[in-house]
Amino acid sequence: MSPRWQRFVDGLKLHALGAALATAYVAVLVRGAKTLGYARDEGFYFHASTDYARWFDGLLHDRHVALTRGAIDAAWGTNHEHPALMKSLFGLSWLFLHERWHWIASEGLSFRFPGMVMGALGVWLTLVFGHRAHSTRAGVVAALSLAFMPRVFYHAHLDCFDVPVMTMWIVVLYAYWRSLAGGVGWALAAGLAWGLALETKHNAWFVPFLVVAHFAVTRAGDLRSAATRGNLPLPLALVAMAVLGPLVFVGLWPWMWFDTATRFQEYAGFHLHHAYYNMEWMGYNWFHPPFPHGYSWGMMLFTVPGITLLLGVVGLAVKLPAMLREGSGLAAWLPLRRLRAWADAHASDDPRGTWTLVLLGFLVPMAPWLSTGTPIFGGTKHWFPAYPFLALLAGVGFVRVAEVLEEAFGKRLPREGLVAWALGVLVVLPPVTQALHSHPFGLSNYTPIAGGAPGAADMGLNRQFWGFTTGSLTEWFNANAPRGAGIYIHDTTFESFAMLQHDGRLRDDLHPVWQVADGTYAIVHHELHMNEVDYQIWTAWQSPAPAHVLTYDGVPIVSVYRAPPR
Amino acid sequence: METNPARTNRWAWAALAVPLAAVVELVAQQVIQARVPTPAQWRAAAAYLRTAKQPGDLVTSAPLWTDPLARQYFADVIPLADAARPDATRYRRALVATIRGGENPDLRGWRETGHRDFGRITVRTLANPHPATVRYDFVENLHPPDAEVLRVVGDAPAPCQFRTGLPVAGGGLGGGALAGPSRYLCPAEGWNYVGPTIIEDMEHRGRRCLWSHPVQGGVMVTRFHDVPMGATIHGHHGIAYEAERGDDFGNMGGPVELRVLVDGAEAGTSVHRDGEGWKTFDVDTRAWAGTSRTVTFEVRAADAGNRHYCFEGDAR
Repeated sequence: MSPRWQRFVDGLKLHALGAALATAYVAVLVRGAKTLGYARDEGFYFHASTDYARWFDGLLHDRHVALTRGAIDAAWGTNHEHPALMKSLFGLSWLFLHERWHWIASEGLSFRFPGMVMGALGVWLTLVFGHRAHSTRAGVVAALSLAFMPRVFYHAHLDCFDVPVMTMWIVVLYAYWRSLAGGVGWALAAGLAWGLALETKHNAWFVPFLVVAHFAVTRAGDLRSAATRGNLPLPLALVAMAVLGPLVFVGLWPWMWFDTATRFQEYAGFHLHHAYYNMEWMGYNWFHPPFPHGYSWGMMLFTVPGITLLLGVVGLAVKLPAMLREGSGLAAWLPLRRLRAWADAHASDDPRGTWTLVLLGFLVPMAPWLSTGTPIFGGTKHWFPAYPFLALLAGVGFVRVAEVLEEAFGKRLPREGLVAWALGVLVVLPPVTQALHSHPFGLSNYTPIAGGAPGAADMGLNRQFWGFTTGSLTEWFNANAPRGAGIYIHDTTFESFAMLQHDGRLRDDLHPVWQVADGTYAIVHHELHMNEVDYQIWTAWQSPAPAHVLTYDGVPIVSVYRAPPR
Repeated sequence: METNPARTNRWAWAALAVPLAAVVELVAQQVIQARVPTPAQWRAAAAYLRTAKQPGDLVTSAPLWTDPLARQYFADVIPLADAARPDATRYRRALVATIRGGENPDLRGWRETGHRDFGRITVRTLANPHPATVRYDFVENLHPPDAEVLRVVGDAPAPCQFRTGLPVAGGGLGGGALAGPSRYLCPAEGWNYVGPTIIEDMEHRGRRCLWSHPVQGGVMVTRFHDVPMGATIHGHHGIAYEAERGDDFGNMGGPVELRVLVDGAEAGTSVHRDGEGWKTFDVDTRAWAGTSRTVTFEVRAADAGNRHYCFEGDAR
């Protein structure tokens, strides 16, 4: 077999494995979606996606009308604080897979499906990155570790942007990394991918900082010698990103087609001056800066399975020498002859600076929380783009540990590779079991390092947000509520409540009410700063006794109160 | 390259920490789940509490985050006044359904006199070392003819009308404390009333108290007649969480003054400033102990805006 053909076959096998993992992941997510309530933001995106989908439908039927400013603003003005890519996909999925072709019976699932696929693509690409950078074993462990981080697992179910943008980060960085081996194709792919990433969520604006930092660190020696010749080499991918990124960003977002500069300012302003929402950390409700320094790292410690963190640290230790060699060109800038001599002697033979990229891929998404002014209300989801790279380091750590154990104990076992297999199963089991156990309370889940949900409650960590746990009350309401009962649904949006009914999960005769005392029932999603709603209900109905308390591992998640007889 | 067998061996043993960590994590997860009290255990504790509770006892739970479960399972022994208590000083004993070795901060310093186990739940009996005897609770007695409320702006005191059975409107996050079904309505705006409500204090605890939002340039007067006096008037005052915590830029509101008068003579004053939370005050009334007097609470603030103020008290 020719080397080229061999590479093709190897690639085919790799992608077959990736496709299998991705398909299995989507299947698990689809199954899980049936019992997962709809989050607050999902409700907003149902509305926006439907508006966008109708515009696309209009585009197919009457292009001239659809392309007028009036039609565009009417459709795309909805929820224009976030870009259009994912909401367009949610809407198109709803329009075609649910409304037209009836391939997906559940309306809610039809909105969520593209988000699930994006999550699965992230898992697939993590495998591929791990394989190309290190080994298939590293890639598989990385992919599974990422897929079953409980918080990632929860968000991967949703029609939201946090998992899709995580995937887009790794798409951009993978393409950039491949482009460093030469060729125009991957550079163009990086530019295109960055445009799509920008079109997914605003945290993609940080990607160029990562690329520039990586290029500067790993090509420092080249930069110096080039600079002395009057050149300033730039990675082609960066040029492609600079050109294609804004084009794709504006091109795919019709709302940006008019008054582009003004609208871009409005978009940027929304995120640069975002309101500070509430978030509990260590028993205190944080609602304005300065936010606690340890929040992001602490939440990572308490929500990413311990074995993944441990393997990540091992992987970092294993690859630290490679990272130092990749960055040795920096020494060329220093006026220390001995250091330069060391750098010359230890220069990396990896022109792509692979492990520096992985390290920066992990660190740069975490960087905003070095500032105590950065909002923390998103919990862990805002630094999801760091997690594929943490998972890749964990994959490397796994391979190294497996090698050591195989060497020490493998000879005593009947089959070669048994140690690695056993270890592989053992290190993915905690994430898998934790993720499955976290469902459908993904945001209430904490790892054993925190003592689980009860330990987190003891410490005073956020219980949940977005009001999605109403979805776990449907059986109770279906069984207990009198016909036509009104329910005060607290943090759940009316759209999310309605979607439970469209899906047939909640009785149609029930309806949400605006005021605490207007219905037969009132619920409280337990989150520290929302305690006031509890007290409002006590005041309204002169009783502190809930009729039902929904719990997760014994921790109260939602209290349901019933109005006294009138 | 030759390898050092001893060194290899050391690394192999170190590497075993990884599978060991995985096993520990898997086992820990199971242990956490196994330690969760079951509904049957909560119900068994409830059955015990119904028989064990005596007049003057407080039924509660620890740690505080179990409170919704306690209120669900022990509904018939936790009345609203106990759930939203100002403190625990008036109770002789506390029966505390405890999990995970938790502590209820209201009961620090109390002595354990017994306990009963119901699986993962231990009901501890704690004795209050210094229980207070409450002679008169101002929140409970805010109704005619015992009480009257006046809004005084300038020289014209305007009496507020007592209403009961009123609809309770509003609610939701940021909605603040709701006006309860019984209250003295003052002639100006809807927020201008005196009546029992429950505010969220700075510790996010619910506190039952008398809403008495100050009025700009005036005084809110709440007067109780024929109050059986003890050695002290013990009370608390606070401002609802969202109003007291300040805005996103750290801007706070102004202080609120509470004056306590006995038969028209000032007996004590307490000023509440943002950040003080649920603040205790004690007014020495030994001079009137054993007699019945008129007690007046006056609430005023130089800057009355956004002062979602509430007080409570008792004569003891």
